[in-house]
Amino acid sequence: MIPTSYDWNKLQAELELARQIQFSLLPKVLPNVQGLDLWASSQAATAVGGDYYDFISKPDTPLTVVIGDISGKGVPAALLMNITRSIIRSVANEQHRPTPGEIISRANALLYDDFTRANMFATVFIGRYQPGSRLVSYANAGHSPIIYRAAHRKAVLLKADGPPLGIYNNSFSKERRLNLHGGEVLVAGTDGLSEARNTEDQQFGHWRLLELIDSLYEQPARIIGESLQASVWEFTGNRKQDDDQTLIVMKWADIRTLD
Amino acid sequence: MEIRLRSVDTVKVLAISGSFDSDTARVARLWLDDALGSPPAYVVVNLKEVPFIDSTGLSFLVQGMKRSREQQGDLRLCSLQPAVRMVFELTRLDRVFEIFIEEEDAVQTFLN
Repeated sequence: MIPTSYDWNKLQAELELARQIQFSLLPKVLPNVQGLDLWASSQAATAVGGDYYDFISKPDTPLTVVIGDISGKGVPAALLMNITRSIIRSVANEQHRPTPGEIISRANALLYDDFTRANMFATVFIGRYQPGSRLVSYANAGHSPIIYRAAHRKAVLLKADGPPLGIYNNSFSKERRLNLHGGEVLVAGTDGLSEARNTEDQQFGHWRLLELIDSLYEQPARIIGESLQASVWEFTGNRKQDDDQTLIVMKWADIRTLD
Repeated sequence: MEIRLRSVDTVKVLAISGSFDSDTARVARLWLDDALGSPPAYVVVNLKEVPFIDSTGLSFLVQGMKRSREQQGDLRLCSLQPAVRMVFELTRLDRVFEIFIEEEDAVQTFLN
């Protein structure tokens, strides 16, 4: 059957509706957390995509930050992104307040069959911060780039501690901790940034992200995020965006405000 | 993008040239389905001439690995360029796949 212009118009309208729905699922308001400066943004490569970010925050509970990237792009990735988001949110909100590592293990168990049938996987980073504390705990299932700039040190890439979701039916991501001293920056992005290519097929690369964060770390989270985004877009020039690009910037306040 | 296929005894070798993205994965999947049709499938994917791999390429490799292991076979990798190896290390997929420097070594692990 040869698609008619009516079919294409209908398809475009449905994609636009899907885009609006997916956009509506992203947090509209960033949580207001003591001692933490937050910024986030997501740009799909097509109408809908497989990237997402989420903040799970309730009174008197730690802030949970999630960034995820479903393999591939477009409608297939978007469908699984929505399932992944719902499951992770549901597990994170369980009464016993599972840790980031426990969330990843439970989510993987619930998602494994779906990901296997779809021949896809998802990389996920989950961080947890108790407002007013000096501790961030996190678990990383195959996700990159996660960049940490400690006070008075160069920015470094934090490697994943376990494989992406959907690889093994029993998945385990080791939980790690960051001890805050004030002035730290944690940047969680998706590989659409580090792998962004220009018209000469050169990649933006992790090293450019690390250098930029080192030069911007004293700025507010919004300036850091917008500058990183602008740098990637300037680098890629006229080349069409290949992959979804998502970015969360978390900057902790001076040490005195953490007490 | 180029895909070359050959056999070394019972081992099927898939050598890819160029970026390993959705276009490559789409073509390679046809070959993979054929290779997995005769279990157990012993597959080596040579990435020597692959400067870039995206999540679609990784999905293809993961799918091939899972399906071949279900059939008591395996899919192994060799000759990763530094940029591609870094992707595997950052995602911890380097702990999921058996990765070799040389194709011959990868092939021999199946034949020995």
